[in-house]
Amino acid sequence: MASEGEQTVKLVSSDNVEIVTERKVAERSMLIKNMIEDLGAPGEEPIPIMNVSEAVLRKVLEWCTHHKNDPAPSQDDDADSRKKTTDIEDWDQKFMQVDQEMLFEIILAANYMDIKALLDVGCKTVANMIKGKSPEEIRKTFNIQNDFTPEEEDQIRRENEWAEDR
Amino acid sequence: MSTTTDDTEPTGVTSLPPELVASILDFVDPPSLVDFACTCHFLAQCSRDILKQHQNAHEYKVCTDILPTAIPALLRKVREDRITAWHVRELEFCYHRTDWARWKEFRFEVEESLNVRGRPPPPEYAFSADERVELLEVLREHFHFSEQDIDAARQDLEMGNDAPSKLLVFAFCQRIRSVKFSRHGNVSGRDAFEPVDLTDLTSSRRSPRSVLDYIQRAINLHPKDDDGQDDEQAWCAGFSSLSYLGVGVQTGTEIDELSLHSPPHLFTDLMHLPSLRSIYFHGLAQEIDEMIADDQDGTVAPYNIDEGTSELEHIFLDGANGLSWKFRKAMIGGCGELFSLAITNSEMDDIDALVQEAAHFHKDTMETLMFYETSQLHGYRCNMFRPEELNRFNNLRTIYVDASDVMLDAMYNHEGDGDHQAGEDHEWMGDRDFFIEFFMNSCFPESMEVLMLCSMRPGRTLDGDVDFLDQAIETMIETMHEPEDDEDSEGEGSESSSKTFERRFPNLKAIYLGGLDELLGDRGYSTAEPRKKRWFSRAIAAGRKAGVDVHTRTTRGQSFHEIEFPTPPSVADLKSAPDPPQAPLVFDVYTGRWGSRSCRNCGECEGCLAQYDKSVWKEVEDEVMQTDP
Repeated sequence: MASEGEQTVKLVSSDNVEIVTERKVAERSMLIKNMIEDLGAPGEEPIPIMNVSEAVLRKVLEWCTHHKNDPAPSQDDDADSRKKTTDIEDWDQKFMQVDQEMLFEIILAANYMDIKALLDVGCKTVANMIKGKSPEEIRKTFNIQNDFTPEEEDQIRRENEWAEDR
Repeated sequence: MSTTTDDTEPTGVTSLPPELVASILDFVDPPSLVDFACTCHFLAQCSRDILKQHQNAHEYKVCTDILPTAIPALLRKVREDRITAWHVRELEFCYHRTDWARWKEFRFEVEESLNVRGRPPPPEYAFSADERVELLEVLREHFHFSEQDIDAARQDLEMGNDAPSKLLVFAFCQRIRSVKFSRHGNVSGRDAFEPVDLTDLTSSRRSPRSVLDYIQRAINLHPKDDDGQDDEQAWCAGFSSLSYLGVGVQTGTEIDELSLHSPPHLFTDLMHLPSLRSIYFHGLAQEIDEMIADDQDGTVAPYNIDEGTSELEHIFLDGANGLSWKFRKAMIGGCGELFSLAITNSEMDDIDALVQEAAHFHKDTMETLMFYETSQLHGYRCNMFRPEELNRFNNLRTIYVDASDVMLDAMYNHEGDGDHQAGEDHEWMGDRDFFIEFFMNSCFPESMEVLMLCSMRPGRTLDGDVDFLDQAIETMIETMHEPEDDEDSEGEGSESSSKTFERRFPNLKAIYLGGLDELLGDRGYSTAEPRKKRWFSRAIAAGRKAGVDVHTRTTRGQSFHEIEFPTPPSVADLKSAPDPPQAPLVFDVYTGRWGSRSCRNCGECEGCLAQYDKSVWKEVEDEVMQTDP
């Protein structure tokens, strides 16, 4: 039997395309990791990734391949919230230079496939697009329809005067 | 009919489930959250929770240690909750709990205290054994504390000394702007972390380690880069953001200790804080023996600050005493760019040399040189410093000058011209033109905006001096600007206004003469009759005409300019203070203290009538009615 590192798994995208990848790469996804453990026989049974199209799945796997040797996420990563920074490493930054549609697809896929680190990178990328912009600029950036009256906007400002304390 | 429905279909951020939007918001810088929430209803809804957390956390903006539960609770909170940590901007450390006996409920009382009857807080406020281990680990990892230091901190945590927890609170809050230490129990010793030698009585009687000891220790242990300078990257959050530090801040309550002294080394160590711009420091002092040892024997440890390396821009010393040459040089020279130096209520010699030092290091940046309550400040062969020292500054705007030093300098200069023999007489005293010329050309830098002309011996100004000064100031104001038209110059103004001087003071805004215009000083010199002639009336009139505020004992009403002086922290700004004062406190520019508003030269009270005769006050009143009906 091949060692774990060389094992491959078959993934099936929502548009029914089969993609074969290294098990170690696929297991960056906690969803897949758990499924493999449940199935017991990796490599034979194709694993359906129901909510993710081929294009997005390939992109996600590209990220997983680059990060396959990262230390496994530990339980208390989340607890240590002080360490939350908006810094993104260079490779990830380049990786995230995609159109907005793809960016949000990656976030949805990372969430569905339970890849915490990728989800964080996606969220940070969006967060950096919001930083320092006025509401109008944010609307423009994300193509958001303004359904607020000026009074409602004022109301939010009044409730959040703390934000003026720069 | 539209074929572009797909474009308006939510595809981006508005198509995400709210919990994913919330995940994004975890990374958004807090002020941008509000802008984000203002974009549309859906995103406002997604932002509700996190905005609510910020609204609640905002009550931590200013934190004080008055309640015994405050520091342990705050430390736990800022370690776990980065939103709260983000909101903490100011810390007030007023009461040092050195051991468990002091962990009682505590209330500030202006008068007599009930604190002895307070109860200690329930034991759960103390840190658990596990928590202590974690906190010590932070000291080891982030502050590079040695095992010996860790032992000291462990001992302090166990015995109920709150100093290490205060250091940690400060270190965890990434947006801390200001930390104030009250004038209470914050004495710091350089040897605070040296092990106690049980056979040595002096060492075992050492006072408990204070939070300033801990901060000083952390600064001293801070890693250096290859050039031997502080490694900018490695500072803990609060250390990098702190811009204002107040040490020995008065609370106006029973806890204020009158004679609290700190060693100068603490000051120079604090100068390393990477964003520290402004410091108020009370009680910096050196014994005379130590001063001599420092300057002459070289047996005192060197001051650990390299020239021009500190970010400090504003220094305010209150109640300082002595202070060696070496320290003064380290303090002034250690700053990269010093903008203001203010000293009040202090006892120091060689002020002139301090001014020289400031001019040597900061001639281009210094804007403010201010002294308040100067009776214990002295210069070498002058009262404080000779005005000629000011000529070396290029950008001074707000200046204190002792009037007797102006007189003294005038005398030196007059004697220097060879017409009179030194010491023979004071003929120059009759030489009005010479004095005015000297006053205009040699005493003040042209950049001057605000002049505080005072006397270290209030109540002793001579009538004749006043007359000279009055005319000199009048001239200074009248010649501020280039004359627009030569034709008019003959008709009005005093005889001196047509004379041309080497200098002009085009930026002049205000002149403060109230310190000279007092018959009796605080210490009560011989009682004199109320004056029948208003002092500085020419200067006042010229000022009114030119838009320069001339402040004396008789002026009142609206000023042309708002002047900002360096001030000590006010009790009214302390969250820890008992009750806010009934009336807002005002800053007395002559004493350098905050207090309740004076009579504003009402002309009716006993104080006013002791200064000037009723006829003068009538004159003042008429003038006020005329200009400000």
